[in-house]
Amino acid sequence: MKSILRVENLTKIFPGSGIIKRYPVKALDNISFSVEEGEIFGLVGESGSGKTTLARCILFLDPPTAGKVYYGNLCLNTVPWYQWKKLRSRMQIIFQDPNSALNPRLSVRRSLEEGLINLGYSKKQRNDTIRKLLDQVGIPYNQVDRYPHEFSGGQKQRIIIARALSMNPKFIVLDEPVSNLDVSIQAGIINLLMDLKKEFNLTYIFISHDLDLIAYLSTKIGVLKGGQLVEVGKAEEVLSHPLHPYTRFLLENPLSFHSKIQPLKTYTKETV
Amino acid sequence: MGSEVLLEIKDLAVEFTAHQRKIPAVRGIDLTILPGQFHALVGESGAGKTVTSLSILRLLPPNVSNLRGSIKFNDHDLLQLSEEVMRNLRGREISMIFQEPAKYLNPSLKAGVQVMEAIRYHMGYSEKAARERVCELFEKVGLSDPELAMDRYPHEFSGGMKQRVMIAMAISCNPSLLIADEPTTSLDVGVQRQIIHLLLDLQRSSNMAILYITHDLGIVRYAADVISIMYAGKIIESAPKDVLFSSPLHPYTRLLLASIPSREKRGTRLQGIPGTVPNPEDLPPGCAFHPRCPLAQQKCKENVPPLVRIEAGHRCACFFPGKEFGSLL
Repeated sequence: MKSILRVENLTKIFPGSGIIKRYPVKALDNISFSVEEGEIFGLVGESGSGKTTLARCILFLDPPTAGKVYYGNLCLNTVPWYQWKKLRSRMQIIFQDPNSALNPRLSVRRSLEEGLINLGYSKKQRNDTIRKLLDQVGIPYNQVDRYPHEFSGGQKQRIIIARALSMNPKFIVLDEPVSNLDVSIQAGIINLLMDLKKEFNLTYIFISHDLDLIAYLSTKIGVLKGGQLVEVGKAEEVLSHPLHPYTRFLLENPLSFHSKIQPLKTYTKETV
Repeated sequence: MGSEVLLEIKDLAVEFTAHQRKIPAVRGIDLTILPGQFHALVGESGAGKTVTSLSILRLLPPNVSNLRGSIKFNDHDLLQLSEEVMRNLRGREISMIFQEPAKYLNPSLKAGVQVMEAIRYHMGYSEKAARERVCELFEKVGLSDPELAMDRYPHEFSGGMKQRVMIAMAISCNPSLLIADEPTTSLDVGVQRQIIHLLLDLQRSSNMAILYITHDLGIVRYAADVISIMYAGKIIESAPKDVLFSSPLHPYTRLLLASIPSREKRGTRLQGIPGTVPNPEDLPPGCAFHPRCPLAQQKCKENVPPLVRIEAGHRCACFFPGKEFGSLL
């Protein structure tokens, strides 16, 4: 398989400034991994472990302090600014909070149109594309002139997914795309993402703190802890033979719904 | 376990008025908590979980336009008590911890001082005695070096430590009921585990009942005794934990349980529930779940199914409890 994204010795240091943070913070420490085409790379870690920073560094939304990122054979570190606009459409990102990722003053149509105008689509092409995209993510086309506040969180996330897809990306970074949604809605979004991946032959980097979810959908798993990638490998191997104690700790979480660890007590109708 | 009842909510309904519109947040619920019981109230956002807990403490915002029902706590109806009596009850008999400990601690007061306040008010302790009590409490909730911790300000603690301070405050007067509103949602896995174990220890050692509000079924599976599932302002199923997980009856509960991703489900589609959680301002007639329910019939659109006892301790509000989905999905 061809690698679509390769990260080599990536390090990100936020310089200390101001009164509150006087010391530089090493958010990512020497991270290397690669993602092959069609894969779902699941990145799991707790808050503060550097998941979001890594997502931003990969896309050069925050340039890494050291290390290289390759997209195919292209080293992103050396891409001149005027080529970025075209490249950006190949790699999209979807954020955790759907409520803050849509401009409240733009209708759904305007939000979706913006990127297409940049790609030089005609008005008719734009309308056709938007109709097709909304249909794919399960939003009725007659709601296209509504504003974000008229939609629920799950619907907003669908619109955001449509917007990301409108750029015909090769890979999408999904930064906790369902953690702000209710359980019954989460499953629908996950199913949608899996369908779209198949249909458009997408590659995902899926970031989550929820190991159950990562275990459900990833083909490859990376475990982040304190800015370091402590374990990375094929999903089946990481799940059945975790090597790092931290991975084992996460896998043995008794609070996971499917945990094999017996609850502390049982409570049946006999005890009522 | 004694047969006496600690808390008995009967037909509680809470309605808000905002922008001239009526919002029925809780629509007639019955809930019983026995002493020392870990009762989990599970539901999605907007189901009315938090409003239920706030009405127990009578801490509802002022725009409540309609409040109906009774909340019996040790034979007193909390909704009828005077504000003065209520103030003596809060923190002493019933206390509460919240999702974001940082929001509920005063940033300009030392942790020790904040915890002492309730002890001095309710128990009339002297400053010295209260300090000793706080020390003891901090030790109990697992704050290392309690003497030092007392003189720290909230920002000097991590999220998990702040939640421990909140728990110390909540249990300072040995309440018989602790309401925990998603206390671990914003915490990391390891810290979550510690906080749950701490709550379970406290529950057992001092026979304190816990009303645990959450949407996280993993925590419920691990810690709860009895589970009540809320949907659109009503309890739709309630049962002892093992009964609920082994034989859920309400279609919402069954679909919800099937929606949780896991390693074993790799390569298969997740169940999910079609549609969205209804807006409380605009509830469908009949059973609020019927637009999303694969079993829905004409009857469900017209009549509201009552919460009826199916077997000992197991109640369900559905006209077709436990009916096979068959080819409907």
